[in-house]
Amino acid sequence: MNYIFKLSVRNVLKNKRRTILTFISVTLGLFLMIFSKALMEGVAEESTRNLINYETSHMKLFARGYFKDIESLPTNKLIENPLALEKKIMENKHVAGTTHRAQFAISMSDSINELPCIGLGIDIKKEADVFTTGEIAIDGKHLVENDDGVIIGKRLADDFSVKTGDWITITAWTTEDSINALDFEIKGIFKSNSPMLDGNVVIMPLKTADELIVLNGGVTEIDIKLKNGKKIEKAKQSLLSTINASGEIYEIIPWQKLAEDILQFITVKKYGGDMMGLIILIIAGVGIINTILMSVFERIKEIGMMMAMGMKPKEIRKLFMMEGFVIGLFGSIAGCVIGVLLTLAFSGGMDFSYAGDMMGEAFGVESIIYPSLTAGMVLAYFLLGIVLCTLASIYPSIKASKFEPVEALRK
Amino acid sequence: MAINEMTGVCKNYRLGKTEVKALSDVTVSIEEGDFISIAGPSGSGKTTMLNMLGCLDKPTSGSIAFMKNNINEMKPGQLADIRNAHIGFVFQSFNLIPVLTAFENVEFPLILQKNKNVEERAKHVNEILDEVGIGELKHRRPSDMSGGQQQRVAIARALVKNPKLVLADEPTANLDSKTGENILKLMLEINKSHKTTFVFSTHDPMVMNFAKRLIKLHDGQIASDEKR
Repeated sequence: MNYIFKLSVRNVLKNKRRTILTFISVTLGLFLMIFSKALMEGVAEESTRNLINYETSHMKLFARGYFKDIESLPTNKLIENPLALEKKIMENKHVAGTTHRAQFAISMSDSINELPCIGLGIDIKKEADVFTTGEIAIDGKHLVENDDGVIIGKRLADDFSVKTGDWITITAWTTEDSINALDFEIKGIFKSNSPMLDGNVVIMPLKTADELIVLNGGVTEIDIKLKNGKKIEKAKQSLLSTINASGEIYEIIPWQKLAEDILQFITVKKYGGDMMGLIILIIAGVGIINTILMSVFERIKEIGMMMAMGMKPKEIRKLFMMEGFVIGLFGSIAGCVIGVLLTLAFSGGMDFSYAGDMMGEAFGVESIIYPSLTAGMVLAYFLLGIVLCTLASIYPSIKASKFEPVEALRK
Repeated sequence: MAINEMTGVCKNYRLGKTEVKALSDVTVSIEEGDFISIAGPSGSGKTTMLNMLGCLDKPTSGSIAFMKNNINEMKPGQLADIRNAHIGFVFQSFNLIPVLTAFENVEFPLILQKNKNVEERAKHVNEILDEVGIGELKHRRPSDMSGGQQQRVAIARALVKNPKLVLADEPTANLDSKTGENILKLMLEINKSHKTTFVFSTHDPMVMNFAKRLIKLHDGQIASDEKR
């Protein structure tokens, strides 16, 4: 095997120009795959972080049966006396913090236009125990306890052409099956990079929400932040065993289930980057087929001589497949090194602010992306490069091994 | 003892729609220690006969026995094993592997034989290279050597595995007469000292003069077979 490797390296280096061209295409394909993967991974990590920090928390506790109707934001399955329940939840060793929210369907109007939106009542004192909505950049001011106004996202404000200090009317069905409409002053306009929060939600103190739809101290959800976000299933089981001790009253839904659609979307975007690199790698593979095929036809006589000396067809195949492997090995090393170096070079963040709000709207992230890579990912791409190049050399290798020695020596 | 026996061997090739008779009813026995020249004009069947003797090709009819083994019934892998173990080849255009040095080219057949003792291999290769007179050039690649030097490397490569039979297809055709003569002298010396059997093809009368046995071919048939 050693001599086949040595022979392959020298043969690959013999035709420098041709090898360099093939080598570059492998390197380019792999480096593009790695770097776009690092970027998309950075995007995915941040949009997941934003999702957890603004919307889903690590898990939500609902009254039993709420989640299956969550799309319609029902207000007939409330959790009464959430603070007592939260006290019990906080006793669990996995839990770092809790808060409670009320989400309900509303209609927002500026007296000319009207749009269906989501009303989000938050406990101003407890919100920061789980969410970072209080840290979102805002034009105006964040809500304080007993505030009688609301804050809305920038996209929603732009849709209505309203600004801080303007008044809006919110209409909603109460829990008593009547319609209520109240006027609110916009205290602030925030920009969170969460497409849902920025474009659909009107945030208000829980007390205000209670006045609007008559919650009687009830909430639709308890939001739970864990000490270790990776131990979700363990924490869920542990919590369910205590809170449902006296019957199945509550259900706990982890963030992955709550954000299933968004996660699928992120996965599709991640594969988009992979596809581009893969196409380049496939082009590189065709290049390798061509390079090795040319090498085979240039060396027919040499193949004949090797066969005459007793080299068997499978050894001839090994020899040419090793050439594909060698190109793949060095191309993949170079591709991985460049990809990792570039990722490290941009580890302080890559500014996409020229794209305007596109990043926030498309991915739910800030305009600065922090590329992220793991050793496992680099290893996987490294192996992919080698495997693809070796596979590409199978056809020329078979071709080389099919020559009859006499015919080959005559060429 | 006969190394190779051809009995009533015919070999036909298909050239487009016509069939060409390359060898016709050839019966010959190659004995151990022979130094044979196969002579004849172009197209007389010299190379075809060498290919048959070297287990590179099978006859259309007739039989070939290499060391009592009938090659007609052997599979390509078995023929490769015979070539690997017992036969050395020297080609008209040397056919060295261009990316390997002289030393590595000569070492190559031993690696194919799965000889894993690196020290023993190196010792043997160095001895052979010294014997053919190019020990000092062992680190050179073929492109840095003259035709005569390359053919010496090819001879060393053919001899390194101590073969029963060395086949040389017009070994001096690409060399000037002086170098060609030196190569033949070298082959003759090795034939004498190692009792290695040599069969080489040529149409050069000077080369024929070196042979201890001369087989003349004409239109694929043996015209004469004389010992000298």
